[in-house]
Amino acid sequence: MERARARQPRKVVAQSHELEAHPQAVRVTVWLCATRPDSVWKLSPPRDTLGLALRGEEGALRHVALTVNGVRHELELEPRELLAYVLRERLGLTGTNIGCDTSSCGACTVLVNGESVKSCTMLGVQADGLEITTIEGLARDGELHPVQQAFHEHHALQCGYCTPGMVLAAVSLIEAGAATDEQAIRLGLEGNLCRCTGYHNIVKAVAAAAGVS
Amino acid sequence: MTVVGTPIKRREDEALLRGRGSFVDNLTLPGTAYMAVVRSPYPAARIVSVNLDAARAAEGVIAAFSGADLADEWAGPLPCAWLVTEDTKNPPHYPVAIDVARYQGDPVAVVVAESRALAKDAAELVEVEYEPLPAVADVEQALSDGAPLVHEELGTNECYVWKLETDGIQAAIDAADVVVTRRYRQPRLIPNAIEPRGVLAQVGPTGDVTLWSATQTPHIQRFVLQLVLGIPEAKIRVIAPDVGGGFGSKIQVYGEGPLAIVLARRLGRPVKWTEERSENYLGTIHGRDVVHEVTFAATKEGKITAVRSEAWCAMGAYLELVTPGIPLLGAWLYSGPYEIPNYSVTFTGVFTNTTPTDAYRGAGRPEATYVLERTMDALARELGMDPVELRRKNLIREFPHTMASGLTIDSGDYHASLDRLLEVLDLDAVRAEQAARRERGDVKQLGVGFSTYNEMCGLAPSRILGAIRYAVGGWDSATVRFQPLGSVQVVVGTSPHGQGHETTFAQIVADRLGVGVDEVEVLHGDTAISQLGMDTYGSRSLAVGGIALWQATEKVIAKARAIVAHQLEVSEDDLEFADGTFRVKGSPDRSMDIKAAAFAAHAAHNLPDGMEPGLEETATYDPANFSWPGGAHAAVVEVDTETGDTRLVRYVAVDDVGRAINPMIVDGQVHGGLAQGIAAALYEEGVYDAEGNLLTTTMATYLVPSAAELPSFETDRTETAADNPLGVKGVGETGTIASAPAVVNAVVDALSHLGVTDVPLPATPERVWNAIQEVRS
Ligand code: FES
Ligand code: FES
Repeated sequence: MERARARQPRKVVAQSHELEAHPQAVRVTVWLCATRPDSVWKLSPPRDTLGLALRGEEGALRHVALTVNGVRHELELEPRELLAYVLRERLGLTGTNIGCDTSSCGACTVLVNGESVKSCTMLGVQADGLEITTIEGLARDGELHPVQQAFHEHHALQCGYCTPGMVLAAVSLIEAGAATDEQAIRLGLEGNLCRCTGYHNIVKAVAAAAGVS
Repeated sequence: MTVVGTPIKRREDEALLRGRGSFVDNLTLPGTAYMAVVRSPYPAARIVSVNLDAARAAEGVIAAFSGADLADEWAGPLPCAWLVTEDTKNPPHYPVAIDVARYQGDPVAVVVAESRALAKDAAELVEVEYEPLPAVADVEQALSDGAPLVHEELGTNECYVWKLETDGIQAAIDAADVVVTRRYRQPRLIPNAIEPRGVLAQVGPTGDVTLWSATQTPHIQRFVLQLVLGIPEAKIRVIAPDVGGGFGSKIQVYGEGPLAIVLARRLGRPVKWTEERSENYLGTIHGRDVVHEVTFAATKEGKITAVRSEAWCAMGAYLELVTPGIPLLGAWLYSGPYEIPNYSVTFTGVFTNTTPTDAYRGAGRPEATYVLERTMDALARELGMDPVELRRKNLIREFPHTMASGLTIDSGDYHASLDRLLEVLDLDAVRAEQAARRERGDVKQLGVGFSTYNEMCGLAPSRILGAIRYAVGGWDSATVRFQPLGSVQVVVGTSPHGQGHETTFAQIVADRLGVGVDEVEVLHGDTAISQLGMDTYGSRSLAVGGIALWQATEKVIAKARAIVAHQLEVSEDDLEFADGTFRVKGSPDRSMDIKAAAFAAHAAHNLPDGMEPGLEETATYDPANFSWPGGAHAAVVEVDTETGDTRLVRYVAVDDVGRAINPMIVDGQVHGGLAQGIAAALYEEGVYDAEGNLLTTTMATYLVPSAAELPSFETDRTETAADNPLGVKGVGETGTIASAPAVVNAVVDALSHLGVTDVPLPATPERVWNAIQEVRS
């Protein structure tokens, strides 16, 4: 089967024959595999064939304490609530955008204890005790973070929808010392999709922020 | 200081970079209820019954409705604005299907609940009894005898046949030394704006409606909402806040908007709906899905004498806003930048049990350019000519140029773009490397492909639109308003979703008025603020809206001139205006700046007799012609002849988009356009199985490219001024239109020494590998 160039192959185990035999099976499989391993088994698979909803396990609300952008929050969460929705709907931090339901686009990327994570691949309850940084928390004293500034200077955003996730993915890539050259940046940002910029200026901005040419 | 032509940074960025975008899903009103749509899992099915009891009884559910429950709400079906022939078939299309679902994803019921999650939980509890019907997904099969009918009552799947032909085409083909005929299939493309669609509807106590919508077209939405809901436009306000990309897929007036309004009215609460990505794959329009058969006739010296194209174009299950018209946007481009005296184009629109098609970046023009530029290479092979030479021989030399098909290209210099392309590309070096690899028999072979193109955008002259049966006009409007203390407010009728209008338009106005660019505020995307406008699509915002803005600015200057002349007691002709100041010719110390004139206009103490106070002007501009960008592109690819894996290693684009107001933004538009065309060449394909099930419903199976799949682009510009006061042309779609054929031509070129002459779209490893195996066996 030809559609083998799946993004992030390490996460996608759906085989092509499943695609042909069972179109709906693929998404379910991909979803589960793309979800962080420790959360996979807590999710029951979607029941509806169109993937409209992902039902969580039944059960009581869970008490969760997490720190977001330096502020501690205590929340009563349904076990099924994804971190992305906790940020957006419970905390009103709508800078974290949602662009897909298969953990493919990266629009929802945040930093969890400093490392970039797609916040739709993580349950809110898993964030108990963790430190989250969203795009709203990146600027310091009102000044844009150097990566944000580089995005501005290099015209690395158009519609801006992918931007919060892209910026945070870039911050984490640079901090990990992995933004070593153009190719490394391109590979490092593979999990974040942008439909507007063709990535040209994003790569330039990240290289500039990382101090590589 | 002049800012036009300089790459000033965008004012849009600040909010977006800080996560303060106002995307629809970020907006909530007190009491908001959430809507979830239940969609047909069948490509074709009779809806036998819809049982909503369990959904209605579920936690947090406010209401649930079937299509039949809502049938009386509609003043009319969702309209199609472009019925291209008198007998174009336009079956009724309602926001929720009533008795038959005609594509996978067709809405069949709707649930409203206290939260997004509860609405979706309840949507799962809706029990729909379907009687599956035979379905057809392929355009050619849909026209075959005995094919299942998408709309039984029409008795056919043929939507229309549209033709444009010059006299004597057959004679020209018969008389030619060389005739080349090729067939090309361009698959479905799924637009995938990273922000899915969404609406938030509020109905006030007097029936006034506000709809926040992730749309490219707030003005068109308002117009259509009256037709669907029977609510007068005057009571409807549509707001397009920050919109996360559109690429054509947010032009349409989808059912969910009117649906949310109806529910908000019935429930007395604001209603919000946010599309999920897998819903987007099914419920938002697709692009392309066209089969072409193209014939070129030429002399043995390589002068092309005729082009004839026949195309079968998928409409999908219903006509969206401009579905049938999409092929027509390419109808004049089958001769492209070449002088070809005989011309024939036929389009057959075909219904299939699939998501409706409509505008996707380029809309009709990438389809035309693809078959044209692929066939140019096929003809070059047939003639034993170099593909660049063949192009050169046929490129139009003089402008304005009236094409055999009737329209006139105002400006261009296609040879200049091609010359510059070859320079940047260093073709000789690429060919030398290619020859060396062939010589060595390398596994990884190199190929270079070209696409010299032009395109027709800046939609559009209203008279021409009328002549080709588009329902409304193609003008746009702008208002320029001096506030009393001298800051400037600009209101435009275009509606950006990433294009940076606020920055570009401020540059134009600031320069002409001689005020600081930061003193100009640009407002858009709210029909209560911008009453008149035709919105953003078809690379029209600068080429049409920008000219309206220029004219409004000129009108403001004219009024200010009259005020200054009156106050300085000189004649208007004695005043010259530069850098924001009117000076009396010959005595430059007698002067008044335009901000002082603005204050005088508001104070109204001493205005010419009969002049109305205030300094604010509106202009509408209806272009006399389309906008005609063009250029020359080249792709260099590396193909692994053992695996078929293809990597794009270089992409060079030289475009003539007229004058660049903000070169940084222009380059950004080109980059984004290129990525989408390259993706169409190598990665993206919306796949339906024979029964009409969409197999590509996620970003894991539909391959929107990431940064890892693409190289950095090499872009350059040549410039000829368009025939308008700013000299500007459209730029939003050029990259997408030109790039797919360049890339596939490069893939074929890499394998041409093996005997490969074609690789189907997209040129995935499997397809490339198969093409190699075919010639080897
Ligand atoms: S929304 Fe999380 S990856 Fe797309
Ligand atoms: S800027 Fe629009 S998706 Fe990246």
